[in-house]
Parts: sequence; C-alpha cells; structure tokens
Amino acid sequence: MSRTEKLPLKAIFIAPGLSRVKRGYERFVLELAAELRRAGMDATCWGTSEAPGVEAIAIPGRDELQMLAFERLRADQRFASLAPNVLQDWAMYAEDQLFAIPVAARIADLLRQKERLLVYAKWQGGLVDASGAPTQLLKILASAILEGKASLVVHTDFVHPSIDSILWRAGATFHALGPWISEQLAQLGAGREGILEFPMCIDASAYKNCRRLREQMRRELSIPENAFVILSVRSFDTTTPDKRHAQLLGEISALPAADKVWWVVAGSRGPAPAAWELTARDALGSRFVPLPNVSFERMPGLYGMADLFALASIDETFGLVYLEAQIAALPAVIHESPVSRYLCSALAADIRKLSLVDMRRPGCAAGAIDRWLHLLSKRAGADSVNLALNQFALEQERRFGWAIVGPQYAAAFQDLTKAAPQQHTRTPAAREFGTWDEQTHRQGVRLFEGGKFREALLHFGRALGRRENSERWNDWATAQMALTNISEAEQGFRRAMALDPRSAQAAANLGALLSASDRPAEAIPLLVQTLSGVDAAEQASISKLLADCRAKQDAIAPPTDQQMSSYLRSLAGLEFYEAIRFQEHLPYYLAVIKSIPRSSPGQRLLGVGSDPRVLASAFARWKGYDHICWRAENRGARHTDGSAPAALRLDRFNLEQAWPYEDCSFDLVFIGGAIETLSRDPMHVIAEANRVRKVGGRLLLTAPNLDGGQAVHAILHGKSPYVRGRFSSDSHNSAHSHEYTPAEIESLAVAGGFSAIRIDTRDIYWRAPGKVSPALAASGYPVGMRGDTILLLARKESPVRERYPAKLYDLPALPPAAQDEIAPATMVSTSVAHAAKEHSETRRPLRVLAVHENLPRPDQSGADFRLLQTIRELRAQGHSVTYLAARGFEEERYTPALIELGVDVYTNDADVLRREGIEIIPQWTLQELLREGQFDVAIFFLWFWMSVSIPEHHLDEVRRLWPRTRIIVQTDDCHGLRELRGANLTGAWSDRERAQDYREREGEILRAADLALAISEDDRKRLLENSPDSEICLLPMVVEPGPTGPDFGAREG
Amino acid sequence: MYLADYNNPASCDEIDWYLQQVAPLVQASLPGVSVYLVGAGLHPEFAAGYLDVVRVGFVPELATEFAKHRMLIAPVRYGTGTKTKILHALAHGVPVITTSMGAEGMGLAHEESALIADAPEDYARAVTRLYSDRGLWRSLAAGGRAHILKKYAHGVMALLLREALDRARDLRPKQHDPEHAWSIRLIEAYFPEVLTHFPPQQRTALRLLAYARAAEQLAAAGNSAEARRQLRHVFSYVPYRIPRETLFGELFSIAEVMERTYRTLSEAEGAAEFRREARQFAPAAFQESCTPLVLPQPLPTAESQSRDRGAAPAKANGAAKRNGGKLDFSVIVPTYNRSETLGACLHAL
Repeated sequence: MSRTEKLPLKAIFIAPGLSRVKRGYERFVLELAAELRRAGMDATCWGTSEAPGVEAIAIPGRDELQMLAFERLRADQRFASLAPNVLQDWAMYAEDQLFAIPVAARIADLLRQKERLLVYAKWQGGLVDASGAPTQLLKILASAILEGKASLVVHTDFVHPSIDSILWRAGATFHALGPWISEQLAQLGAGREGILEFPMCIDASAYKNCRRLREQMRRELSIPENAFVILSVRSFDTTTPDKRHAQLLGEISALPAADKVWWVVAGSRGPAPAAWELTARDALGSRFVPLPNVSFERMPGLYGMADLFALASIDETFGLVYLEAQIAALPAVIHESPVSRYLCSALAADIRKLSLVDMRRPGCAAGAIDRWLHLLSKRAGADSVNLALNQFALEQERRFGWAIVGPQYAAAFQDLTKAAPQQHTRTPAAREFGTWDEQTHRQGVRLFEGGKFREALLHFGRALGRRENSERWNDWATAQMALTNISEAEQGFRRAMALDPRSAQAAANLGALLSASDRPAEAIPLLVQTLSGVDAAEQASISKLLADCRAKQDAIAPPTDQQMSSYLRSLAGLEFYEAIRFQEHLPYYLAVIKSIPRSSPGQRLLGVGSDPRVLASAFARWKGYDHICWRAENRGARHTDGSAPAALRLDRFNLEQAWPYEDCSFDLVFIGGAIETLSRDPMHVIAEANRVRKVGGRLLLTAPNLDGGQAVHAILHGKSPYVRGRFSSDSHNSAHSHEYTPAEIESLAVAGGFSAIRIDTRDIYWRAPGKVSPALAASGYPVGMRGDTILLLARKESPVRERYPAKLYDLPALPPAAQDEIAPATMVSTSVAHAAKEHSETRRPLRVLAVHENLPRPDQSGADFRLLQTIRELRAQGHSVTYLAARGFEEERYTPALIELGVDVYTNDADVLRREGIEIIPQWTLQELLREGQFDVAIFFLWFWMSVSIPEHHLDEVRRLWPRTRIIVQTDDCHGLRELRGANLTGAWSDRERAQDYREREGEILRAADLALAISEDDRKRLLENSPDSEICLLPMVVEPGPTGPDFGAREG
Repeated sequence: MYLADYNNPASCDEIDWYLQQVAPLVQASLPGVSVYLVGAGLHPEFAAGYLDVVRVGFVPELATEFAKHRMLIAPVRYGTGTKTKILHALAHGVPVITTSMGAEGMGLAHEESALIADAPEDYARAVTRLYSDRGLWRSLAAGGRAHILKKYAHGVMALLLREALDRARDLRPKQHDPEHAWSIRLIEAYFPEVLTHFPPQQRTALRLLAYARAAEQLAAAGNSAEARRQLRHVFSYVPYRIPRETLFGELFSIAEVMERTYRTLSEAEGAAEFRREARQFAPAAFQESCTPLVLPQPLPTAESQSRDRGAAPAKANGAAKRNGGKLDFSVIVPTYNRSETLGACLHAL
C-alpha cells in the first residue's frame, strides 16, 4: 500500500494529559500519530486542552477532582505505607475518569457515523474506573470490538493483573513495550495474538549528529572545552527521593577527580528545589549547571556537549532518555533493570558492564563514572570506545528510530483491523487471571523485581491479609530483607517454614539470614535441609554458606534440646507442683541456656530470678561457669536438696536496694522473671547490674513481651495484654507490676550503660493465634518481635548513662528559682537566680530538644558548623539531646555524626513540610516526642529559609502541650538588620519590605521565647533594641587554631 | 585573597565594590598584585573583564590557600552576626582588612587585630600598607590570631553555654496564650487551602496569593497595620526563594493585588515604588495599556466565613467594566458537597 493512499480507518489517541507535553508517553503518542498520518491513516489525538497536534476536550473541575482523590487515598489506611508522590500519581487518574465521559460520547457518535475506529489509550485514560470496574467508554469499545467496528490498543508499560484482565476480556490488544511486558502478560494468560510488542521510538535524526553542537553549546553554557561534563535529565519534576538527585550528587562529589567534573542537570519542568540546588552548588560550585524548563528541541545540543550520561533513577518504565543518549553515542551510567538490559542488549559486553550499575548501592555509580573518566582520558581507549558507541548508536537507530519502526507500527495497526473479532474466545472463565489475592501477590513479585520493595511489601501484605501461605510469607520476608528489616524478615521466614516445613526456599533464606547474623548453630540445620531442595547452581552457594557456618561454630558441639531436657528433668523435684512448674518452664530454660555465652575459666556469674537449682546447674554443666552467685527468693529454701552445683552460692537480698557485691565482680549477670515484678524503680536493678559487672561483661535479661502476638490478640478482643503474672491466690507467684516491649527493654539497657548484642523474642509459653501475623502484615505493622518472651543479650559499655530515662519515668519538672515570688521570666534578677542556684539540689543534666530546619551540615556553611558545635557541647556537658530536623531528604549522610554523639534524631516533619509543598506520611508527631522526651529545654534555631520559621511553627505548640519546657531561641544573625543594611545599598522596595518583615517577626519570636542566645555582644544589643524586654545571653562560636603557614616574604597577594 | 560563597548576594556586593572602587587605587600603587577569588559558587562570568583577578573557586580545605596569601580582604558592606571567614583567616595567622561592619561582633581593634577601613581610598591605603610593611604584617598576624583564639576558645563557649542553661533552669516558662496567632500563619486560618492544595508544589504560589488576598481583605476591613504585615510576608520569599522576575512576571496576578492594596491603604509612595520595581524586573508590568488579569476569589471556608461574618462581601464588579459591560460568570462546583460553601458561592453570584 502506498503512503499516500488514504486508509478507511480512523485512529484516535486518548491521552488526557496531552496538553502538557512533558512526559515521554505524551511525546510518544504525538509522534506515533504523526507516523500513522505519514502512512496515510487518519490519526487524531484527544487531550485536555489545546496543543499542537491535539484536539482539546476540556474538563471542568479537574484540579478539584484530583485533590479530592488524593485526600481520599491519603486517608485510606491501606495505602498508608505508600509515598505521597505515588498517591499523587494515582490521584491524577481521577482526571482521566472525567475525561472519559465526553470521550465516550464522541466515540459513540463516530461509531454511529459508521467510522471504522482504532483507539489507542492507556488504561488510566478512562477505560477502568477507580474501583477497578470498566467505564462506559470501555463498554462502548468492547461492543464495537465484538461487532468488528473498532480495535482497542492499550499502551502497556506496566502489568496490572486485575486491570489487564478486564481489558483482555473487553477484547483489547496490549501494546507491550518490550519482552518483559509480553512475558508477564503471557504468564497471566493473555494469548500472543492479543499482544503487539513494539518498543517506544524516538526521532533519531535529531540526536545522531548532535556531537557537532558540542562547542556551540559549551560556549553558551560557559563550560570549558576541556571539562568532563556529566549530563542528567528529568530531574526537576519531583522533590521526592525517587529521582535520587542527592544520590548522584554524592557519587559525583566522591569522585577522585571531582574537581574536573561538571554536572549539567536538564529538566523539563520548573526550577530545582532551592535547597537541593544550594547543596549541589556548595558541592560543585559553578561546575553544577541546572537547566530548568528545557524544551525537547534543545535536548540534542545538551547531549552533544556532554561526555557522559548518568541517571540515578531506578524507576524508568521504558527510558526514552536512555535511548536519546545512546543514539547520541554518549557513554552512560544507568541503573541495571530489565528495561535497561533490553535497551543495552546490542551494546558490547565490556561497555555494558561499565554502563549498567546498581544505583541503590552507594559507590557503584561513582566507581563506574570514574572508570569512564579513566578510559576516556586515554586516547587509544577513547577511540575504541567511541567506535563501539557509534556502532551501537546505528543499531539503536535501527531498532528504535521512527524512520525504521514507524512504518512497522502502521502496518501492524492496519493488520489489527483486518483480524477477525476475537471477543468470542475471550470468555471470563477461560481468561481469568486469578483471584484478587493471587493477582496482588504477583503484582508484588513484579514490583519487587523492579526494585520497588516498599510497594512490593504492601502488595505481599495485602495478599497475606486475605490468605496466608508459605510462599507469600517467604516473599514478604524477602522484601523485608531487601529493606534491611532483619527482625521482620526472620519472623516472616519462620512463619513460612511453620506453614510449610519443607519449603526449601524459606529454609535457604532463613539459613542465609541467620548465617549473616552470626548465628551459625541455628543456620546449619536449615542449610542442610535446603541442600536437597534447590538446583545445582544454588547448591554451590548454599554449600559455601554451610562451610562458613561450620567454621564459625563452637569447637564443642552444643547439646541438643533432648540432652538438655533429660538433664534438667533429672534436677526437677518430684513434688506435684514442682513437676508441673518444670514442665511449664522447660522451653524457657532451654531458650535461656542457649542464649548464655560460654564461660572462660574463672568467670563469675550472678543470677537474679527463679529456679537457681535448675538453671545454675545447667549453666555450670553446659556453659562452664564454676563461680555462681544467685539471689535467693524467700521461697528459695525449697532448692536445697543437694542437687545444685557446688559452685553455687545463694544470697538473700532485696532487689530494689543495694546488692551485696563489690563493683565489677561478675562477668555475666542473668536477670530472668524479675524486672516485670518490680513496682518502683526498674532502673535500679539495671544500674546495680551494671555496677557489679566487669566492663565488657554480659547481661542476659528476659521478660514477658507486652507487644507479643498473644498480648496483641488479647487487647484487640478487649482483654488485658498482661496474659502472664496475674495475682496469685496463694501468694506463690508475684504479680507483674509493669510489662515491657522489646524496644523498652533495649532502651532500659542502653540507658543502663549496655549495648545490645542481640534482642530477640520467642513464643515459649503460648503460640499467638494464627490470624495475628497476617493481619498485622496486611496493615503494614511489624510482625517481628511478637514472641511472648523477650531475650536480651547485652554488653557493658560504660557506667549508667541515664538513671531515669524519660521514656520510662515520669520525671519532675525543673523548679524555677524562687517560684512563688517571681512570675515572668524576665523579672528574675541575677542575684535572686544566683541565690536559688546556690540552694538548689545537684544540677541534674537537662533533657534538651533542639529543632532546626535541617540536619547540621558542617561542611556546607559556617552556621551549620556552629550548630554542630552547640550540639556537641550540650552532649559534652552531659545533657541528653533530641534533635528534630524539619527536613532530612537527601541529607541522610549527616545523621551518623549526631548519632555518634548519642543524640536521638528525628527528621522530616510532615507538618512543616506540607507548608513547603512536600507531602509525606507522618512517622512521628511533636506531641509524641514531647510526651516521651519530657524536655526541660527546647532550643529553636532561628532562620527564615522556610515559609514559616521553626519558632513560629513550634513555640506555641510546645507551650500548649508541655508547659514545663523552657524555650530558648538561638539566632546567629539580626535578620531584620542584616536585610535592612542590604536594602539601604540596593534601594529596592522589596528588600526594604523584607527587612521590615524579618524585623517584626524576629521581635515577635524573641518576645515569645523565655530566653535567646546571640552569637556576639553586638548582635545581643541590637536584638534587645528590637525586643527590649527579652532576656538574651551570649553564645559565641569556637574557633580552632589552624596552621600559620610561611612568613611574609613567601606569600603572594 | 577574597573568600566567599558567591551565591550569597552580600558577597557579590562586597567584591563588586572592591573591584570597582578599591582595586584601581591599589593597582596604582601596587601594579601587578592580584586578587585571588576563593570559594564555592564562582560562576565563569563572575568578575570577568577585571585584570589582575585570579579565579580559584571552591577548595576542599582552606589551610593551603590561606598559607599562600598575604592578606584576606573582607570588605563587608552589609550583614550582622559573626563573619566566619574572618575568624578562620585570623586563626590561620592571615591578617584581615575589613570594614567597620565586617569587624562588628568580633571585638577587632584597628591596627591591633585587623585593619579597618570604610572609604575606598582608606581601604586601598590599608591594602597597600599591609602588602608592603613586613612589621605591620607580622604584628597583625600575631595580634589577630591571639585575639581570636582567646575570644573564641572552646572554654569560653562552654562556660557561656553552661551559664545560659543555668539561667534557663531558673526561669519560669511563659504561659501558653491560646489567643496568640503568628502573623505569618494567619492566612492558614483564612485560607486553609494553602496547607492542603493539590498538587502540593503549587502551595508556595498559593501562599503568596493568600498573603496578598488577606492584605486586601484586611485593608478593606480597616485593619491597615495587619494588612501591611501580610503584604510584607510576600517579600520574605523574594528574591531568595522566588526571583523578582517571577513575582512580577509569572505571578503578576499576585503583584497586581498587592499594588491595589497599597493604594487602598493610601500608600501612594509604596504603590509607586512597587510599580517601579515591578517594571524594572518585568518591563510589561503595570503598563497603562496592560489589561489587568482577573483573579479568582478564593473559596471561603466555613471557618473563614464565621470569622469574617459582618465584613462586607467582596464585590466582583471590576470584571464587568473591563469586559465592555458584559458580565463574566463563574460556575462553581462544590466538590466537597459543603452546603455552606455552596450557599456562599450562590450568594456571591
């Protein structure tokens, strides 16, 4: 058929967002329509408003609808773990539902006019509604397909089983963008006849000779000719971490030759977020070149002037930008995924290895870029690479250029119209894609394979909530592993094995996890079990793991459960009560004995808890302890029948008073069945345990788990979660005064000067009802640490760090000096305060809340350098510090410095960020922090870089929620005066107004605070002029001496 | 040596001043002596065209750079606080020439710990002296370093922090005032959409519009003082977060409300200044022939309605005049099914 012949077919491209031709899909649709027109077809694009090549169908109330949809999705707990940008994308589809109404009317009209139609759309383009049901538009098309009057081609860049099932039954043909999509569709049951596999294409002519624009474009951007330029694109359209700007910036900054590298970031939308741009500028200076609002026409020039293309995104559905770079014959460093592997399949293997990296792993991109730098700096290497890249560019043009592929599209679309209607073969029964939970689980698998672990987890959880099985738990746990939630993963694998003890996959995964967690004894039986159930390739790696575990295992084989049980049974008394008690506690004894580290000769153990005869004997026999002291309870007299080891000494003392031992006299303290019975001061026990233990010695602490599955089940049914330790009618047992969660036990230990070696929970007394774990997983709550008993093994690191941790103790407020006589803060005279100070009790360390817009970034600015100095000094003076950074996106690398100082860090304040145009799911609230922290002092750092300053955000809330907190505002500038001085030089109205704005707000803030800190005496005086009644103290910087360098004569200008 | 973050407008101002007004005088007495520009954000075009300027740019550590040069020039023309670069230079034994404003806050004494000069001639003389006088150089290097290391020693800061926290302990915290509302956050009660608008990226522009609208309505209600404050809040974003070109160009509709409000507040001078600046950054702004854009009225919420009860409803009669007597109609669809909102909308129509 000649190109000029008019075909009796009208192609309609439905794309609601077509007026905003920014995204790859929209551009692709326009170009495909143009190709079909070139081939003689009548092709029309329908969008939401006027644009070149687009017929507009207006949608009233579009923004309102999107907002409503977003709010609904956000309020839905099922989606609570999804990032807001994902929900925003979903909300965008709301517009498409509205768009589908006039589109359906027009389609019906065209069909009435006997037009033969081919309709091309995404499913989001109004074919399926938000509840997953077919829309009127799809129903009209399905009828027309059935009658042979229309064809429907659905652009498929991602497989959604439930939706694709509907489309399939409606007679749609899937336009699969590559083999990875076709395979998924085929696995779901779609016949090959219903799949049209064609790649997305580009106009190669624009890119293939773009290198000639190199000099011109570099001149335009003031980039030196000899600079090594890295180009990244599509980087300004979101502030969420998905595009991973900071990742790439960090990688480029880490390059050994970073000072030679320029980074050009071209975005099709507005300017980059200011904070990110500043960070990039600080790191690279003028070598960072952000280019917002770049048109497609300008892109070839940018590819032409670059030396390397790099994109840190791990989330490209097709990657047209990869193609552009490839046809421009540009070396690339991109994330390895099924898509990028497909696009690079014709690339020479050694270059492909340099180009595809795991962008999730820190250092991979930097390594690859560095290798490219090295390779291209050598003439011979550069020549051979360029030759290979040019050949590859030609091949890509053949595979993905419109000139070659466009006519193939036209022919394929034409063939579709000739094919007989297929609706009769697509009955729901024959083409059912599986149950809802099966589809959801499969979707999770695909998301996992695409590197979207959080979303995969959500799907796995939802499938589990409907029906649990071993495979689902195994996949759920694997996703948890990928997210480094080890405890969750372990629990998931254990659940998988509980449901199918023969599951080789779950056994292998759990074995590998335990091996990596340095628990070889537990890993070995699992790995042995695995060996017979996996293929040869996996067998090799399992064998290696097994060998490693065996090498790490103790030289002395640990006793088996059976051996230990027999021995322990021989120690138990024959009296009825004792026999019953022994039987009940046997699993506990076994768990404790296994958790106790083996003794070296001469080591001493102190036991606090019940059953000294049984446990002490076991410790002596199986763990080698030959000096054991044990606290005897009043009823302990029953254990004196001579079966206890000779090395055991029983001492009577009150746990909640000083223990009768010298400092540092034990290597291990075991506390079991004790801490939950204490009614007044559990930290006393921890503090005494610290005192009597040698530095580096161990603590094994066990306690019932208030957060266990059984307790959760009980409380959900309106019963008490205190499922153990009830009151006893014969006073034989102690009732539990306070039960703990694993997190509380760990924080007790940390406050007591220990660090956790391992914290674990076991179902020792009861097994939690089966419904609990799937229900928790389905709702996104943790399932790990749900056993009924907590076992903590910890190492002594220091003296007690915090005698009364705020999370566990209700602490008294600091009394103000001469409280009765003095009301307002500003009226306290120095002499009165001094007198009060003289008479006050020992000045205890303060609990300080520090709130700033960002994490301290001392390598970025002097102000941040000073900020870190302040925090460091607070810690040095013994105060506990909780640091709250309103934003922490892409600044995670600054957190460890604070954590090393012993600071609790919270980032990303949802309430602040929403004012900055960033929506996130809140992970914490100010109210929770205040309640847990019981802060004596809050320090707000005053800057005006955000819409609302930190004091304006938090001051009133802290006063309202926790009135005892003193509020200090620290300011490193007189912000109003600074701006006024600038305004006096520029004479600009806006500068004067801003100066006045800052001055007024600064005064308002100072008046509201209890105290302010100024950086210099001059600033202090000026701040007082603005707020005369405020109390302002001086807090200068610290300057460290630097090397003085050579004398006068050896220096230049 | 000059050290700065060149993205900071204050830094650009001071080095411009130096190169234009001081450097020619220095060149006359010290021909061939160069200024080394050190620091992040040095754009290729910055200071282009000046002779005897060496562009160094960002350096990973400053000690090496300090060791090369005879002095740090810090011709600070505006700012407050402590100038970290001066502290660092002095701590490395590099004498500093600064201005009275630059010396503020650090207790620097002229001729003892630094040279201080404000007028271009004095500044140039100071540079020439320090560059040529070995004795003065040694004295200032030692004096400046000793002064800074004493004044900014760790012990000083530790002691003052301890005293400040002791002071805080002795205070009785002020009480929460439920009536208090920060001026900057008033609009969140007037126009809750600024916190919830979708897509969120548009909230900054919406917020600016809300400040302008709040000012307009407060001015109409006779609360001139708060109206002025709301107008000023717009400028807390300009130019650091929103360039002036954007405010007067892409967001001209906001500028228009502001200009009108200045006039309502009888601030003719303010309105004129505002227009002048607008024209400077967006030449088409406020031309006589320019047809003003029509802003949609923000939807009143139930909360704002009850608060504003009694205030005259906003009149939208300007559109009819602008449109040759023909009325513009808006059809308002209450997406949240709020009957109160619908009532207010219909009333406004």
